[in-house]
Amino acid sequence: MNFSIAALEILIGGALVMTAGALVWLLSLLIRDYLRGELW
Amino acid sequence: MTDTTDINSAVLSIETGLILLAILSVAWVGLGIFWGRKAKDLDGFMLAGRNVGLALGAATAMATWVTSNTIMLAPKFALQMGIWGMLAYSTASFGLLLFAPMAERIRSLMPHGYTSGDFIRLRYGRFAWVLFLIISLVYSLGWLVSMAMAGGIMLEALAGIPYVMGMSVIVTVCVLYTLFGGLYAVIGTDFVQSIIILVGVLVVGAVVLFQLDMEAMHTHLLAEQPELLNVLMPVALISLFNNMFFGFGEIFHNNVWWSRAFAMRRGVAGRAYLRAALFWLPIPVAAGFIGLAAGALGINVPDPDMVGPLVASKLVGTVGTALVFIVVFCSLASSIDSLLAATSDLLVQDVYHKWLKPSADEAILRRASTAAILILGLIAWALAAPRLGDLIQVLFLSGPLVASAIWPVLTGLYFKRVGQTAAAGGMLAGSIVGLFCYFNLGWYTASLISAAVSMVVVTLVTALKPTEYEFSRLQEGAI
Amino acid sequence: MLNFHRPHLAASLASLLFLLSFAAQAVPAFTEDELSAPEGHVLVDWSGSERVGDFELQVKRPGAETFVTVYRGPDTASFRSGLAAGVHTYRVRNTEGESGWSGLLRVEVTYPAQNAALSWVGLGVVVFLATLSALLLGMKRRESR
Repeated sequence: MNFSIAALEILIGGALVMTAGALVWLLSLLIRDYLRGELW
Repeated sequence: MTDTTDINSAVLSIETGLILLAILSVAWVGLGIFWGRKAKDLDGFMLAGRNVGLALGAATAMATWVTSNTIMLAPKFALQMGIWGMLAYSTASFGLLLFAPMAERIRSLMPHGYTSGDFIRLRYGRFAWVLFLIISLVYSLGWLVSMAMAGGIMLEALAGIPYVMGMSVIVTVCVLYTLFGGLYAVIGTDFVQSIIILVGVLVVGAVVLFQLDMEAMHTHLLAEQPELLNVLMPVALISLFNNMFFGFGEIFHNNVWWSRAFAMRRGVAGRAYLRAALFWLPIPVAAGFIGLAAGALGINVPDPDMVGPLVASKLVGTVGTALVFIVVFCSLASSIDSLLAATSDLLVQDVYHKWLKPSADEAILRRASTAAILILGLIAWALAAPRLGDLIQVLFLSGPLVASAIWPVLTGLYFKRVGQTAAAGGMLAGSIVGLFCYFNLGWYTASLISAAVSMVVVTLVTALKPTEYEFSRLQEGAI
Repeated sequence: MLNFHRPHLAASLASLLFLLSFAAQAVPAFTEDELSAPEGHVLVDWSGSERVGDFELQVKRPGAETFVTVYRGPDTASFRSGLAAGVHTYRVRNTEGESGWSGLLRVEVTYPAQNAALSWVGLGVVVFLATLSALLLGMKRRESR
């Protein structure tokens, strides 16, 4: 039994989308904390 | 290992490498000193004032967990074990996920705590504490030395910078900014480093994906490397849980993660670790799939350790190699600095303060911290300098050791009936049986077996000989 | 005439000798002649640093009758992974200078039995679920207080 092309596409594409999401999320957290004066 | 094979691929010129190295070094030391000025007292230096917010907290946990291994080993895992190799690596993020509620608990149980050693000593007494310190120091030193070595090897392979020089620069830079800025410097630089890591992984991954014909890759794999697509690939399946428990052991026991829990503001630690786990989860796949693609792209791999940079340089050109160089440097620095800070805390608080000199005041401890960071840096440098490949084995060998601490730490945080015999017995039995399996059954069984044995011992001893622990005893006063 | 021929002859002799010595070195040889690959991957490497042209690496896969080319290029090593179980036979040559094929390299790929692998996975699932349950139970008890 082998992983299909669709599985490959979802896995790799999904990982890259999630990485991009992580980047945006992290930056938005930074801005939020900064505006609230809660960085540290 | 890299000098025996013949890589005729494009790498950075030594000039470019040295310029990048210089820029990154100056940036980290400068930023470290800048942020480090916030450290006014011992709590500031060791724990960044115990008031770190969500953004910095999540970023520091993620960046520390992204080591040079994540960037370099994930493609190698994909190349060796295929789809499951990448997925197995991703399960390391479960460690951060499970640690999230524990971090919150740690923060509230021990508002004045400094180290994971503090917890074991107060919770389980002296014998378990000594055992725990041995496990933790072996692992931390193994990690530190293997990072330093990886740094030297990478810089040499990517840009022809001589091993000892590259290794010395990385260690010196991290020692310098940790020394001047303590955990403030570590956490501040970790944020910048995590942004760079995410951008680098994303850019290289996207460019490779753009040039990759998924259907052709699938056909190629089926014809030439069929096991990489096998849903039931045996070795990968076995190693899946082994990796996971290795990761649990690393995170649950090590002071790198505990000191971050102590450093975060009340109510932040759990949410920060949860986000760090989500941020980390896709990285082994995003950085690793290029190893899977090497064959389909017609790229020969003379050395599996170098498959990541090799594919990046072939497909993204010099910019790709430069990006890998920068990302590797950032992931190394973000882990080495954390290890230096957290392990020196462990040495100062647990070994020096609680063991050798209980009367030490804050000024003395601050000086001891400086000395500990310097000494650790020096030891790491001296062990890494001769470039003994066997030393990297120490890190893998520590897998069964740290996995044996999973159950003692976890149950110790939540269940008052678990006592010192259970904890010490679990660590001892798990470590011994795990090490035996490492040598006799295969590396891919050791951490799993160790965790299992430790779990059985902790549960059995607790059932037979339950204790009554008063959790308020953990609230030891400051300093 | 004679003066013209002499250096020419010398040059031809020298180049002949050079070619002869080169041909002797140009047949690459594997570092090992037998390897086992319990995890399905193997580093195939050969000597032949005095190369004139590209190397060509061929493999005869388990069950196959003929060799097929898997690498052609300047490297002196190739990491092969994801190999199907069975015996893989490799040979390598230098594509220029009519160098013959090297001796054979026999790689035996054996995976752990599927059942053994699945029982490890079973143990992993049990320990994982137990660890997760302990954590959830701990969190729940703490919250109910």
